[in-house]
Amino acid sequence: MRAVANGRLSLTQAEAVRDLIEAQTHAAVRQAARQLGGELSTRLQPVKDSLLEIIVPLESSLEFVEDDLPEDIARDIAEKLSALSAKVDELANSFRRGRLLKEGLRVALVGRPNVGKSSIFNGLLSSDRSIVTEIPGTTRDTISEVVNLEGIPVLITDTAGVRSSGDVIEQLGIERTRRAIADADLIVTVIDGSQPLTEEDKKIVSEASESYSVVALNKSDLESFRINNAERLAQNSTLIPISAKTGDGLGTLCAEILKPFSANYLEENSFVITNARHFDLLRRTSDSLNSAGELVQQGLSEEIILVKLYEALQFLGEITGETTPDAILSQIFSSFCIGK
Amino acid sequence: MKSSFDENFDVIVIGAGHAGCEAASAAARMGCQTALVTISLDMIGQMSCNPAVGGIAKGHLVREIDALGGIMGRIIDRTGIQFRLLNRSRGPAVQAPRAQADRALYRTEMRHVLEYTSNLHLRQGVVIDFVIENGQVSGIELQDTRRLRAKAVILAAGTFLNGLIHTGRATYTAGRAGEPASIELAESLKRLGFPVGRLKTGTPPRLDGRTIDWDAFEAQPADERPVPFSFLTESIEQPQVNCHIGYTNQAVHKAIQDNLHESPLYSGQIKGIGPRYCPSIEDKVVKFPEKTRHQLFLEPEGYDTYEVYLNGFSTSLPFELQQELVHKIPGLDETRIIRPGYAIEYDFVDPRELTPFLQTTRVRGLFFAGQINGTTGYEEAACQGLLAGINAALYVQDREGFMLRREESYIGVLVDDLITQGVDEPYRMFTSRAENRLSLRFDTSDVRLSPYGRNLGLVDDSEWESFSSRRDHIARLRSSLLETRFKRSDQQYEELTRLMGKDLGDSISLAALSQLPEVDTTLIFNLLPADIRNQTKLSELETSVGDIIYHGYIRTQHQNNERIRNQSDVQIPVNLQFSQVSGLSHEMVERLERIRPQTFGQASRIPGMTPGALSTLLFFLKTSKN
Repeated sequence: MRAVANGRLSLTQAEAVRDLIEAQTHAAVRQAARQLGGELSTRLQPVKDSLLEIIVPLESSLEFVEDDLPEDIARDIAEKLSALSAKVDELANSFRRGRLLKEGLRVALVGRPNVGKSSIFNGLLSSDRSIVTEIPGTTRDTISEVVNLEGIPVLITDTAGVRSSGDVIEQLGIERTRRAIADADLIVTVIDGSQPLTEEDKKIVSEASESYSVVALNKSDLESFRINNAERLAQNSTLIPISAKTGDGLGTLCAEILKPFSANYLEENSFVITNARHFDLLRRTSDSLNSAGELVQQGLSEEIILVKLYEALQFLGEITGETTPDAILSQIFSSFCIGK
Repeated sequence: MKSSFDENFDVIVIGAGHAGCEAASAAARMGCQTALVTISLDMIGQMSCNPAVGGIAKGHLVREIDALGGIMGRIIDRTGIQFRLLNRSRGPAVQAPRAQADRALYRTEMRHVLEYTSNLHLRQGVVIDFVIENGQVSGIELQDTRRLRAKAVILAAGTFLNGLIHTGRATYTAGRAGEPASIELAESLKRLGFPVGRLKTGTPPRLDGRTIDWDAFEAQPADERPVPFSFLTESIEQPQVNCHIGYTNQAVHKAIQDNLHESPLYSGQIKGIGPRYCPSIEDKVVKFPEKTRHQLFLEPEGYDTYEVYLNGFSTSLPFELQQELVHKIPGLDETRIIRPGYAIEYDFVDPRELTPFLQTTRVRGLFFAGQINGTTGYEEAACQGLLAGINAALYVQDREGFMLRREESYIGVLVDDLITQGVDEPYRMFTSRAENRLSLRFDTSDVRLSPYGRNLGLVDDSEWESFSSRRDHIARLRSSLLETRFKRSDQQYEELTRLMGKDLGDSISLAALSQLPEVDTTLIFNLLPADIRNQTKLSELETSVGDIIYHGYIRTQHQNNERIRNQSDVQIPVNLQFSQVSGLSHEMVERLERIRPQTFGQASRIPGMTPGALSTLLFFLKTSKN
C-alpha cells in the first residue's frame, strides 16, 4: 500500500482500510477482478508466441547458416518488435485499472485555499449515507475518508487547511499538491470559477495534469462564474462545472470518478493487470523489446539482438512459464527444414 | 574361465572413435598406462558419417577440446581439405570453423599421433564383458579370451552396441557398414542394470565422382584465409578443394512419397529415435511437403579418391530406389552409388546415470563417453572422451575429479544437459543451448580453458608459452584500442568520417570505432599504432575487438545473474511443492524436487537452473512470505 510507504497511514490503519475496501467492493467487481487476473497467462500466450515468431527465425539464421533457409527469414523485425512492445505496454497500463478494481479508488482534492475543496469533499461524503470510518491525516493539512459510491469504495483525501498569503506558504501548497498527486489514482483539481485564474491555479492544474485528473470548476451558482478561461487550461482533463453550495454537478463528478468502473468501460478494456509483480515484469518485458528494437535499428548482429529478446522472454516466462532452449529448438525444427 | 590377467593397465578405453581417441590420449599423457582397444586398428579415428569437423557450436567444442589439450583440432588442421569460417558476417560469438576432412588421412594422422604417445598401447580385439569386483570395475574380457586389467575403464562404443543396420527391408547387425556390432557387451550392460534405450541415425549414399556432371552444381570454395581449429596451428598450408551445392526436385520427392512403404522409418521397422536436425530425405519430404527442393552438398572424401559424400540425402530406402532417386537429380543422371546409405539403430544408456565426471554411479571406475550417452556428432563425442579420459586418470591417481561449468564452456553445457535432463533424441550442440553464448566464443576458449589443461598436465611448456604470449598480447591490444583516439584535428579523422558517412564526435577511440557494425577489423588493424601493429596477428586483434564488442552486454547479463544469486539466504519452506510455483518449467520443477534445496542459494547452485527459473523462484519465495 503506497500510503504506508509514504508514511501517511500506520500499517494497522492501512490494513483496516484495505479490509474495509475489500468488504465494500461490489461483489461482481471483485469477481471480475479475480477472473481477469487469472486469465493473465492465457492472455500473454499470444504475446509470447509473437515473441517466439521473432526469435525463431533469428536463431535459425544463426545456428543453421549452411541450411537452405528462406532469404527473408528475419524481415520486418523492427516493426514486429514495436507492435509487440505496444501490446505489452497496453497490458501493463491496465495495471492502474486493475488495482482500482482490487483495492478501490484513491481520489485527492487539490486546489488553492478558498476555492471550495472542503465543500466538495463534504458534498461527496453526503452522497454516501453510510460513512463507516474517518481516518485523520497524520499531518494537520490533510483529511481522508472512505465513502461508498455505488458499491465502489473511494478514499477521498482533502488537502485542506493552510492559508496562502506569502511565497513560502504558496510553495508549501504546491508541495502538498504534489504529494497528494503522487498518492492518488484520480486528482480532482478544484478551481474557483467565479474568479480570474491565478498563477497558483495554473501551477496546480499543470501538476495534476501529469496524472489522471478531473477539473472541478466550482461556484457555478455565482453571477461572476465563467467557464471559458479555465477551458484552455484543462485541455487534458475533463472539465466539470459544479456548485458545491447547490449540489449542481456533484452527480457528474461522481460519475466521472466512477468511470473506470462503469460497465461499458470494463467491457471495452476487459483485460486488467492486478498484481504489482506482473506489472513490473511487463514493464521490463517492454523495455527489453524496445532495446532489442534499437539494436536492430543500429544494425547490430543477431546474437546481440537475441540477448534482449531472450531477456524479454525470460520476464514473460516468469508469468507464463519458462521457455527452454529445447522448446525453441523444437519450434525451429517444425518451422524450417533443417539439417544436412 | 581363467581368472588371471594377460596385461595390466591403469586405464582401458574401449572404442577408438572420436571419443575413445581423445580419452586414451588424455589418460596416457596424464601419466596412466593406457590401452586403447578397438575392433579394427585400421579404423582408428574413422568418420562414420560425413567427412567434416566443426560448424556452429561444434566448431566451438573443437576449440574447447584444443584449449584443454585435446587432439581433434590439431589433427583436422593437418588433414582438412576445405576450411570455412561460418557466420563471418555476424559477431564472433556465433562464428565457428568448419572443415571437410580427407577421411583416410584423418584416420592415418590420428593413428600416427596415438602411436607416438607415450604410455598409450593400441590393442585390437572385441570386448565382450567387464570384469567387476565389489561394484568396482577391474578389467575387461575379449572375445579371444584375453583378459586385460585396469583400475578404470572408459566405454566409447559409438553405434556399435547392438547396432542394427537398415536398408529398405533388409536388416543386419553391424556397428558400421561392414563392421561387426558389439552384441555381448550390450548384453553385459543390461545385466549390470544400466537403463538402456534405442536411438537411430543415418547416412547418405556415397557416389562415384567420375560419373558426376560437375557443371550442374555450384562450386563452394574454401576460405581464402583458412581459420584453423587449433590455437597451435599457425596457418593451413595444404591445398584446398571445392565442395558443390545442388538440389533435389519434385520428381525425387514424388518417387519418395510413392515408395514410403519401402522405408523402414515409415513402415515401423525402425523403433529408435532419430535426430530432428539431421533428418533423412524421407523425413524432409514428408514433413515439409511444401518445399519444392532440398539442398544437397557434394563433399569430396579426400584428395586421392573419387568417392563423393552426398550430404543432405541420408536415407534408409532400398538400394535400387536410392540409385533411382540419385538419377533423378540433374547432374547425377549417370551417377553410380559406391556405398548405399543406411539407417542404424543402436543402444544408448540414460546419461542421468552419470556423474559430472562421466563416471557411472552404478559401477565405480567405469566411465561412458560419446554416443553411448545419447549424443550425436564427432565433436560431441570427442569432448566427452577428453573429459572421461581426464577423469579416469584422476580417478586412478586418486585425485579430485574435473568438471566444467555451463557458464564457462559448451562442454559444461553438454555434460550438464546430459546428466540432468537425459535425452529423448540424439543430442547435438547448438549455441542457443548456452545461456551466455556471448561469453563462450570460439576464439576465447583458450582463455577460458587452457589454464585447466595446464594444471591437468595436458598443455606442455611450449604450448603454455604460446598461450601466455597470445593472452598478454590481447591484453596489450585492448589497452591500445581504448587509448588510441582520433580527434577532429587528426589527419585520419576526416577520412574516417567520410568512410563512416557520419560525424564521429570530437574524438573517437579505436575501441568505440570497432563497435560500429559497419567497421571491419582490417580497418582497425590499419589504424593501430605502428609499433603494436607490427607485432599483431589479425586473429589476436579479432579476439580483442570481440571482447570490446560484447563487454557491455556480458556485464549486464552478469549483473542480472548476480543480483539473483546474491539472495542466497532466502529460505525455502520445507513443504513447498515446486510445481506450485507458477512459471517454472517442468524440467526446473523436476530438478528442484530431486534436490529439494532449503535455501535459495542451494537452489541457485543446482546444475542447469536457468537464470529465468531462479528469478521466478525468488519472486515466489519473496511474495509468498506475506
